[in-house]
Order: sequence, then structure tokens, then C-alpha cells
Amino acid sequence: MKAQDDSEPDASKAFSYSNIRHHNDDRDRQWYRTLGIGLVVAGAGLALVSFFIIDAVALVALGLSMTILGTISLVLNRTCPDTPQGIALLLMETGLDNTASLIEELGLTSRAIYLPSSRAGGKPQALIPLDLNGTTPSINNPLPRRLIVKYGNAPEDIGLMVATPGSAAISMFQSKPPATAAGVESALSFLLVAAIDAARGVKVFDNNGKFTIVISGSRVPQRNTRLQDCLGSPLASIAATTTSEALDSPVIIKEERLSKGRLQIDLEVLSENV
Amino acid sequence: MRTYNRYILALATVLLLTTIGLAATGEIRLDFYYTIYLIECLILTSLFSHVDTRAQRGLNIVSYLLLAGFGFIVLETVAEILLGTSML
Repeated sequence: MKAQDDSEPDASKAFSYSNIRHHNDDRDRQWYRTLGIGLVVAGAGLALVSFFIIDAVALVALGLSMTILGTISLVLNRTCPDTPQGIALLLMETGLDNTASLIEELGLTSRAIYLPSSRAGGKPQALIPLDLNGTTPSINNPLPRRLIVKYGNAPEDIGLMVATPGSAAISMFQSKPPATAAGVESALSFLLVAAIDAARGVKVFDNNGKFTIVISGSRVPQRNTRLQDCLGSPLASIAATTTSEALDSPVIIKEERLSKGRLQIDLEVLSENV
Repeated sequence: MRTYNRYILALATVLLLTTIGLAATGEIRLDFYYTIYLIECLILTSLFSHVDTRAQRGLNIVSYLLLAGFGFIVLETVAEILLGTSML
């Protein structure tokens, strides 16, 4: 992660997440509805005419298949989110901007420690220590769900506990991911590829407590801001939160590299804190 | 949304190929067509519907409707055997 060399807000980056190449949900909804109604009407008409007038079984079957396809399109139309994607992006921008302002105002430079829900008051959160002094803090007890938390005995053991994109994404899981590299890979594939459509593929490698996650075909732009220095990119945040939740251990994003369209995220699992 | 688009495309391709294939082999039993469609729909739905709980619920309803259609075919066949007349 690169350091940001100025603390002035960069207006040109203010709404860069709006550049995410996304499908317009309203257009998708309209498309599914039009396709569904068209297929159901045409399919039913073809099936009835073919059955009662033409007496051609193949055409009746074709009409039936069109009707089935149309019904499924209509069902998918109803599953499009009610909140327009533009509003969701604006809300995310606002939340991240507020967190960025807080981090910049407090002058935080430490990398966040991603805590599982069992240690962060029931919801996965990221703890940004005020001062690390080059050491990784031990978080042995569950922390209260507050903005400013004391995580150790020393007076300087104070940090900021914030929600991250991963905190919200984790709620999409119906159950806790298995505590293996394969389990994390499966969970991240479900989340990033199938559910939020943010990447094309995910691979997870476990090297003795150091997890390497390779995300290919990322559709989320990288930003060079202090927020990203602390929390990591949104995809890295989701990866860290998922890994932390699966292993039930605190996790730190050690490094993020983007090369040839692949985002490689190196995570360190703080298992000694367990 | 791309997952759903892939699902729709896969389903459309499979159903169309099935119709062409069965028609080419001279299949004239409508219930046979329907049964193959049902199996294909259930397989593809189980492969794709895990992405969203709302989608899963909606697609489950479609699956139940398709199974009800299959039940109707079975009843119709039984009635034809027992009574010697077709309901259709």
C-alpha cells in the first residue's frame, strides 16, 4: 500500500467509486420485465396455437420452454435490489469519506487490525491503533462496540474501531465460513464473484498462517488515499474481514499488489492472540 | 447481475438445444419434452440460485410450479390408463 503524501482532500478522487463499471439495476429490472412478459405472452400464444390449431408438438414444446424462461425472468426481475445502485454508491462514498476525515484528522497511519465478530461486539470491525510503535498489539479480550476503544493495559493502547466494506458484506453469509483456505476461497468466491459481482475469480493460498489471496478481474478501482493505507482497498477489506471471521482471529493486511489485472493481498493472521 | 444473465442465457441455450434435439429425433410426446425441461431447470437453478436468498425463494416457487405441472402429467397418464380417456 502506498503512502499518501498530502493530507489535503483530493477533489478529483472524491467520487471515484462511482466509476465502478456496474450494470444499472433499473435497466436490468426493466430488461428482465420486458424479456419475461415478452417470452410468457409469445410462448403461451405459440403453445396454444400449436396445440389446438397447428397440432405440432415441437412447437408446443418450444412455446412451453419460452413460457418457463419468461416466468424465471419475471422472478429475477423481482430480485433486483430496491435501493438504486447510484444511491448505494453515494451512501458508501459518504461513509468512507467520513471515516477518511476521521483518520486524517487524528493523523492515524497504522494499518488496521481486522477483528472477527466474536471480538468486536458482535459485528466484524477494523481496529486502527493510535500508535503501534512497530509492534503488533495483542487483543486477548473481546472489545466493546465503540468508536474509541482501549485494547490493552498500557495508556497508549487506544484505537479507533470502525466498520469497513467487509463488515457490511459479511452479513451476506448465511453461516460462518469454514476455517480453511478452501473455505475462505469458497466464501470469497460466493461474495465477490456471485453476490456482489466485483471480481471474476478468487484464489486463496495458506502459507503457515500467512494467507495470500489473489483476486482476478477486479472491477473495483484502487485509490491511493490515507484511508486505503489504513484499511486497504474495499476488496482487500472484504477479503480480510472474511478471513478474520472464518478463522475467528484478528487479521492484518500486510501488502496489496496490483499487477496484470490481478490483485494480490497478503494477510497475516494474528493467531498468537487467540 | 451478470450471474443472473449467465443463468438466463444458459437456460435459454439448454432449452432451445433440447427442443431442437428432440424435434430432430421425431419425439412427439409433449410430457417427455416437459420432463426434460423440468430436469434441466432444476439442475441449472440449483447451480445458480445460491447467490441471493430472494432469488432462491422466487426460483423455488417456479420449481414448485413446474413440479405441479409434472404432477398433472402423472395424473393425466394414470387417468388415461385407468379410465381409458385423456384429460387433454
